[in-house]
Amino acid sequence: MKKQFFDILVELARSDERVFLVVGDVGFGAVEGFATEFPDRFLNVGVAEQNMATIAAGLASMGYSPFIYSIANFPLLRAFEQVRNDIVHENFPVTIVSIGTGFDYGNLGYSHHSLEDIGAAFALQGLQVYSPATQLELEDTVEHLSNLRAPTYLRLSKFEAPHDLGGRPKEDLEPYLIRGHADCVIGLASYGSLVSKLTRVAGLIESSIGVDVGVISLPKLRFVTSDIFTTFRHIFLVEEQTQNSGMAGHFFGSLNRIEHLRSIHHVGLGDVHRESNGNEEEIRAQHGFSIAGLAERIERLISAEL
Amino acid sequence: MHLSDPRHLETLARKARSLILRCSSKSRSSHVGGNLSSIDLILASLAWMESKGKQGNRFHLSKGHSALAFYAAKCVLGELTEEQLMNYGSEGSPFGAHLNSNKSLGVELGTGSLGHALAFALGRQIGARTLDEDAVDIVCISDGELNEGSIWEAIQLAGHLKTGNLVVTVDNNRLQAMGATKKILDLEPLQPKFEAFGWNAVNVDGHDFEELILQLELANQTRHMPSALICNTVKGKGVSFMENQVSWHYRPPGAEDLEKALRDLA
Repeated sequence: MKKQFFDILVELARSDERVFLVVGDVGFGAVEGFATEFPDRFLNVGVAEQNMATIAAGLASMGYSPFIYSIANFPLLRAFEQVRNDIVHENFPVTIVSIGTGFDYGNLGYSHHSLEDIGAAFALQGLQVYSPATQLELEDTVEHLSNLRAPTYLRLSKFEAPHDLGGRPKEDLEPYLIRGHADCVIGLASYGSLVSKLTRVAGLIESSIGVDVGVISLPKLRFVTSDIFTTFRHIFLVEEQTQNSGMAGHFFGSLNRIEHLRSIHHVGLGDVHRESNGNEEEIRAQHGFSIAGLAERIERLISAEL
Repeated sequence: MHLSDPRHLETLARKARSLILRCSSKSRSSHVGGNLSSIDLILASLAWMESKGKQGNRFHLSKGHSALAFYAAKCVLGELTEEQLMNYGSEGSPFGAHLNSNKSLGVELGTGSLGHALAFALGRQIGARTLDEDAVDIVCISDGELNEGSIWEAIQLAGHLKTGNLVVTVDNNRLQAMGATKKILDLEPLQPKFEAFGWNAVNVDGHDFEELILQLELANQTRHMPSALICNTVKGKGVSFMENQVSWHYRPPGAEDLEKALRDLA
């Protein structure tokens, strides 16, 4: 989504003079358009993520809306205390952009796999979290952020996102249905590039067990309204995050008062410390995150419930 | 009398030291040694900035554990009442052992964890340059704080960008939390280290107001590179039995200590 993101950011910077892009020596072949058009609002700070985060806080104190940019764990986990103290606690409108979600950087190995970032982001009260699944969601998210002006973590897939998956979120970016209908027994919820994958997982489960399966996209992870979930009986939160971290706490807490709901499951990652080389799809398959693997895991969980 | 007149500042510093001791004792808080080593350079920086009268100038206390010295300096400069200050550390007071952001006192960033405020000030300078503003950012760091890698990330970039309106004052009291900096992580000599990264660096007597004001003025005139004032100070300065003692990094002065210390100051 790199190119998709920077095209949108350039567009935003044309109308909003507060937009400032700070990168940690990442974005070769992607940031040049912005840097050329707005040389005064672009800075590569070098390989120094802690510095990048706090510099952005300083820029924000001067009235800017900085976007800081790096890959995988570097902009958030490497600079976690800077994000916590200097951005979130002071409520500066800095957007932390990370490219490469879950196992996206497959063969680059463990250091480049974002498997705890959502859990870490959720640990910081006051940090908004967005992970768009489509081009339309991305456009809406960036526009939403430019008005929101709050500390934000924006997580983007390394791979190009589809234009849409058959719908568009409402302005508030609350959860919305992209497959199936409100009367589906089973609902699969996720964010980012997994949403597109889940539409195919849903198809496999439907033909295997004969019940309708809906898919819900969560572009805004700290969602407020859970209306969309009220008619499902069984809901699965699927995320490429270590088991029971990710956004599970928020998700379970938001849904626990829904009357008709019989079960909520978290489909996450098991032992991420197992050495697993290979490309991203091979590694996903090893961890039960291929399309067939996810369908099988969810079917196993649901067979005990139906 | 001119605000940054050295004789005047000496008088204010004596008053500030007494406030620091009384507040530390009353609130049973630690870090009195570092508050006493840094009060002169904090006071000099604030008074110098005020004498320049520029709206955008900011002072950043990166060694947040000297918050009390900062508040005491603000008090003797007339921005806080003594009554407000004496609430330091008590429930509901905005003034605690580490610095909280406080817009009315010009504090943009709360500190406490070391190695943060220099990058913040650098970010402000990068913004100011783009906005064509001529504000100065002064950042007070401790010598022990120079152990933090994040400080050197900011030092590198400020040198590279030739951020001329950025000034660092190092409270070089040569004692850190567990003992002598020389024994724990020896970074001396500091001056050539800053210079190697493209900074203008000078050694200053951190308790001599005449020198402090002069060097702040010279740093302000050095527009082609950032400046570091390595302020050689004494931990616990002004109270003979606290000077150069690592234990006063932790110990709050008891009633007897306070009485003795105040006599010593006089």
